Amino acid sequence: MITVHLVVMGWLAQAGVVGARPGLGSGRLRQERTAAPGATIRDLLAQLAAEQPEFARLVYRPDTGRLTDEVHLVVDDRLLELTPLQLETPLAPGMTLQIITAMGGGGP
Amino acid sequence: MPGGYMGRLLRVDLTSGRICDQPVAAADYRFWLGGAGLGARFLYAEVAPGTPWDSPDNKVIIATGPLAGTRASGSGAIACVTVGAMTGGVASTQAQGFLGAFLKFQGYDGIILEGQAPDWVYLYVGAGGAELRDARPFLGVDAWHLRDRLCAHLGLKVPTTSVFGIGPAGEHRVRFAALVGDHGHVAAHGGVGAVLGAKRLKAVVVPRGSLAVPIHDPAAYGQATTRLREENNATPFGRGLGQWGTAGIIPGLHATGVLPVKNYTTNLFPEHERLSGEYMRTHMKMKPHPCWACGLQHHCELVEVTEGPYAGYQGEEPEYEGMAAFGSLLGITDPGAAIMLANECDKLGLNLNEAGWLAAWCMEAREQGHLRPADLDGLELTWGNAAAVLALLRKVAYREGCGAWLAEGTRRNAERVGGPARDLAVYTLKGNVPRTHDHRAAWWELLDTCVSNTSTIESTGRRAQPEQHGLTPITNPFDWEQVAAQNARLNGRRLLEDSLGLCGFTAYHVDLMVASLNAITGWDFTVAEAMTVGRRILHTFRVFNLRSGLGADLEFPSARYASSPADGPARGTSIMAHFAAMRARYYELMGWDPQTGVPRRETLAALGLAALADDLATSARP
Repeated sequence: MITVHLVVMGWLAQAGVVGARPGLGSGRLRQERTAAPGATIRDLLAQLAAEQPEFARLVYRPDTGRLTDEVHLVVDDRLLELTPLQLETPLAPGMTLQIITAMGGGGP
Repeated sequence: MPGGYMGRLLRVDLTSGRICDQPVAAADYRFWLGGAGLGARFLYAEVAPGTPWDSPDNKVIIATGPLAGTRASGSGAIACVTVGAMTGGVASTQAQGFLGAFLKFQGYDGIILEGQAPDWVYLYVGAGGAELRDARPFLGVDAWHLRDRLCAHLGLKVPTTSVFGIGPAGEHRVRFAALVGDHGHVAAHGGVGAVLGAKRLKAVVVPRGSLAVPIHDPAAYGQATTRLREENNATPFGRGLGQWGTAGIIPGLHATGVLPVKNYTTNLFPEHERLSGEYMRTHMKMKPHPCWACGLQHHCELVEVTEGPYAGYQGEEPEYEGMAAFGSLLGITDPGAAIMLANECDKLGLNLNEAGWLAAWCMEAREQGHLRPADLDGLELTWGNAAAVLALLRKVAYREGCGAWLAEGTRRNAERVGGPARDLAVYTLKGNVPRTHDHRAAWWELLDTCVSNTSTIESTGRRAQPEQHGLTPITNPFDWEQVAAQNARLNGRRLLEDSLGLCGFTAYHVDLMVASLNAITGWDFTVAEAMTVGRRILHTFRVFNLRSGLGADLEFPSARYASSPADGPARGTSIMAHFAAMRARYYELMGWDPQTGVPRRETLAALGLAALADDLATSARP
């Protein structure tokens, strides 16, 4: 099995997404997840969405197969959209996936 | 008269001292709603394009909206619209606090300020009427203590009196001076504080009155606004805002490459956690400091620094932009220093976004030898030097020494110095700086900042949920075609919010906003019709700007603003490779000429603005 690190940051963390307990660091939840060899990022997200309705609502929509507009996903130190295979990237041992609340500029 | 409105604005001629009521027709309210909409309506009708920002002929419209002064969460907001000092075009900027509610309780939906006072005055709006009073004893008073001093002078209680005014920066017509009120709430953008300084208006004082806001259907309104609050607070945004404030997003922005670090020279700032909302709220002394009817639960707090060289300093907890502007952007790692600087900036009455970018440019230009120490009066403006930044802010606010020229803002100084120094500065060619974000990893906001009427964000923000408008969220924020389309299709949403009298942080669900609007007024707006009002305001601003000479040639980022990140999670991306095509697509989808950005006649006509097309046709420009 492959072990990867899952980190949920920002306001999603306060919403209890992935159900972990708050840890040290700003609004962060951390979990280790295991997956079968050959599994992709999409496979892991689909698994999390199947386990938790909040995840399916706020992070990854199994019906569309897409991340919601509420989040960014950073794979190790690279934004998902800038990686070659994006959601089809195979999970690798020790890989860190950061799920982060998407947020932009303040009021006018 | 529909519910939600008091039926009149207060018109104040500062030149003559004459004050009168300005009635507003029910049809005008329906066409413009309020806030930024009323600002657009009166600015366009009464100020000639090209009017200089410091001319007596310029006007400042401070307006609330139909929901202001009710129990709707965050319904104390004002919009402030004028010809701004930063761009020479429209400035439209918002603030929370209490003024929007208290104006309604005195019987007004807003104030039109015109002319120029012969000497310094403040405007008092009370039950006995409105009058201009001598403000000379209050000159030099900072924007925080202004409320205390005026209330003490007038024998009024601070919590039940709204005071918005300018600090020393506005008095000295610093171009990026802000309007600040109610202990820490800032209408920051565009230089509205400079305009008020030119008019010699130090403050507006409005004690809470006794009038009630009429509500067409109280039961329906209570139901809609309760749902709006509950659903807003149940979102991750709402929950997080209450727990850690807006600075709670700092770690997330760092992880996604959107936290600006040292004037865009890097995206790596390992010390960012100490600047975060969680750090502040778990290490500093905090006290709730809510605005009118705020249901967000601990968004705004007062703070006392408990560690470091600024221990004991008290002020308002900075929003995210304050902690970034005086933290990572300047290489400052001490949260106490960032808290102190953000508060001192507000007290001086400066827009902290502009102040941060200006200081960052000075630091890098000095480091690279493009500015000599003598150019900065010997200030040791090196990364992380908070004391030097404080000294710089004071020089700027009083236009002392190097502050005399730095008070003109980032773009003008970069262009004045020129050469390699110019290419280090972050700004738009239209004149403002961006919010304190790294938009090189947030293309939608970079595009918006460049093409907006105000040279700051106008259409975007994560609160403008595309799915609420029947749109599919973009799948790749680095796909220029998707970004252009999303910005165009969501445009109008923010200006709709800014016309209702609501805080943008409480306006999450557009359908519930519109339900609230209908319940209080008795109207039957659909979401689409409400969005049309937002787009009408936007196009009115755009035509005003085009007729003022602000065209497509200015809708570009500076070289540094659009540079490629050297490191971090978005390293190597380049928006400039796509900018021209992205902008043209955006123009096209807005119903504008893809090259000139001029709205087509049919676009304006569909918004009920056919007369503006005629105005454009007869203008010398573009």
